[in-house]
Amino acid sequence: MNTSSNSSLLKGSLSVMILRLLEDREKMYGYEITQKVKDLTAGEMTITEGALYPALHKLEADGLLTTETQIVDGRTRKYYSLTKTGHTEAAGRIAELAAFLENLNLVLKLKPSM
Amino acid sequence: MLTSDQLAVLRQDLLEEANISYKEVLDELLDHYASLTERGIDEGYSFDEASRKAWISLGSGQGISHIQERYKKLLLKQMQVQHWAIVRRYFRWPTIITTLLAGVLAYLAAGKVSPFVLPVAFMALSFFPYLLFLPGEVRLFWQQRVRRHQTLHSLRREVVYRQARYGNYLCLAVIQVPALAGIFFLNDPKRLYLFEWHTGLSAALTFVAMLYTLSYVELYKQQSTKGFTPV
Repeated sequence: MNTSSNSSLLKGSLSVMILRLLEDREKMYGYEITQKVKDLTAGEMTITEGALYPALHKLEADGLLTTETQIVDGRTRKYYSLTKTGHTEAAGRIAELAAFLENLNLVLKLKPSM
Repeated sequence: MLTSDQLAVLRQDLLEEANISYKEVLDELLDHYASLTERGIDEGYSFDEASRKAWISLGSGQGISHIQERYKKLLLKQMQVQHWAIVRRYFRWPTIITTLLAGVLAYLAAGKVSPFVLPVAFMALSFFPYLLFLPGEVRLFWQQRVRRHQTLHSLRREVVYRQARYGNYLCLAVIQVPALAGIFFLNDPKRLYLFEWHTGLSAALTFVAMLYTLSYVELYKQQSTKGFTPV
């Protein structure tokens, strides 16, 4: 998949992807999120650090994520997890994106009129 | 796993090449940089090669520095929103009763004290937020200059400190600009000296300064519990 077109498509859905991943796991750190997305999409989709961290910080500022730090291998690791509001918001945003994709799919699969 | 010397090299890259200057940002990016480097080493690259690849993947100096700038802007905006939310709370039921009582108290006091006291009180209240940072500044000075420790500021602390600039604006608008206008246009500074006009106006101005200081102290308390300590 073309990376530049990928990144513009990712822009609007990145926060939903982060919320979905955190719904699945109790807590994750930045690098782990990028690797998880890479693994799930067999390397087709990559999240750049320049897009990931602003998105994480925004979700944290909006009160959807909370953080905790731990010392791992001699360095400080910052873990993100969903807050109570984050759980509720995640469900809503995921459903919204899924409905949007479904509609988009209908348009993309439009058969040429005879 | 990287050695402490290798981690120190990566840390230095972030500090010098990307100008990362806040602890929260440095910690997070160092972990990411180190994780990428470790993966490179696992793939068979030397530390130097792996860290170079990781650096490029992170966005190099400018890209990394941009992450810090965006985080700072976001927190600045968030702090303004939170400060304003605290101020609005003072006008909601039942807190509004206390706010009104404070206003009445300011009015009664304005009628009793000499005109010189109120502007001094106004300035003291407006600049009080800076005093909250004094112990931290002394501690930082001690660590950096006396103990020669390399210390980093907390981004959250920096952003809350920047919010104290509204006290300067208050003084500028209420004391400095009217005084200057009085000197240049009326040859009588007292004509535009706002505290000389009317007791009600003096009380209102002092009340605004009180409101600003109290709401700032509350904001400072809220944020300092999330971690302010420079390390």
